[in-house]
Amino acid sequence: MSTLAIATGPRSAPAVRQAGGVPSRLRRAEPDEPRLLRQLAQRDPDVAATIQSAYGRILLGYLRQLLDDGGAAEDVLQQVLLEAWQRGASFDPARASVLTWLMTIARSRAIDVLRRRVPEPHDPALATALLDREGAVEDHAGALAERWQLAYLLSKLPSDHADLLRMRFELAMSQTEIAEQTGIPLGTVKTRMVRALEQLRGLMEQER
Amino acid sequence: MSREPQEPIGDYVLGELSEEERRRVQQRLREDPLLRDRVEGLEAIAGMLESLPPEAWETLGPRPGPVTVRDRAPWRSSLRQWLRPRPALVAGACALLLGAGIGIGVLIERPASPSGPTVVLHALAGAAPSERALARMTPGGRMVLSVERLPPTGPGSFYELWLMTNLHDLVAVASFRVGADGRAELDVPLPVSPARYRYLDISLQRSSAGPGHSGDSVLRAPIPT
Repeated sequence: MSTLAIATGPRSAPAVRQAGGVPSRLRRAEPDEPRLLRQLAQRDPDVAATIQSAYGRILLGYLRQLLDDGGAAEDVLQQVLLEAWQRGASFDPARASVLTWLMTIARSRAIDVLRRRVPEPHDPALATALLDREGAVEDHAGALAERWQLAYLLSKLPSDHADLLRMRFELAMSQTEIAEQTGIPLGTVKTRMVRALEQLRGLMEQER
Repeated sequence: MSREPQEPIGDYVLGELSEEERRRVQQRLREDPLLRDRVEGLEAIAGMLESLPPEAWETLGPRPGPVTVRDRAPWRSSLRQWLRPRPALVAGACALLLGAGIGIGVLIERPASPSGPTVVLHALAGAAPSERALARMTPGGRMVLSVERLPPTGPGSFYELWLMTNLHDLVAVASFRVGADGRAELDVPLPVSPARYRYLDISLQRSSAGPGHSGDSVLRAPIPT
């Protein structure tokens, strides 16, 4: 059986010459989907590095927000990479995108962590309340996963459309302010804004 | 129906209509189920965008400014896209483009007078102490990097500039080669705010290896807070 080389392993991250602990092979990159699918199917040990390179920041961001604990998020991310490698051969791209599949794994593992944080109840009434809470946690985890997927999909938009959405939703600028600041005619801003939202909606629907 | 003028729909979704205009759109939505579906879809996306945490936006790189939309020429936009998400291509292409000792930054227009904080990158253990680089952050989210006395890159190797904090947090900024004079000068856009990272790092990379950090760092400096 082959072994998995996670980014921290000696093969994937040779020691940096100087002390300081800043080695790495991680970087955000456009996923090479065919290569990734091939690696998953073949259980290639390098698949972890490929996933981390393409989706690591989104997965980690999601896990950090959900778990509110950077260390736990890093641990869960490693579990996700391991599980993706272990289960990769059974991944069916016709059923879900790689991102959706990875987010589903991340969500499940994170919920496991959240469950372990809650002590076992002895009071039946408390047990019922905790079950309700568990449902709420799962809903919350699912909603957050959708948001982080959306953040990833923003990077798929043409840059002028993504920029408009960032100005409107990240920087809270009105369309008039965007037009003034960019010099783009207001009507064009409005038209592009709708197109950008519709493109993003289309991408989200493809993910589902 | 759905191909009615888009502006009121966008304005409606974004909450930028007067009360009267809003009522008018709502009336249209009641009469047109297809338009209603379309608007509801846009509202759902807009709602999700409204609730994105700052960290999620940061994964997209530097915030857009007026220049990024108004002044960015198509070729520059394409170049930037090409530079960022496809590191292997960058490395390979840089090896070709920079073979004559021209930094990739030369392809991008340079500011008249760099200003902003300057960082001195010093040689790490294993490298000659005289090797060094100066990096200046310039307005508009760019960096001017000057390297001196670095060993020339041979065939199949190049240097890469990184913003990095730790194993899980780094981003490649630019690839470059160094000729016999040991010098190179780059003027590159920063993909993210350097304030988010602890170090500026220059590594020696092999073209035949993967796009990640080689682990062979030659120069490094803490990024001032």
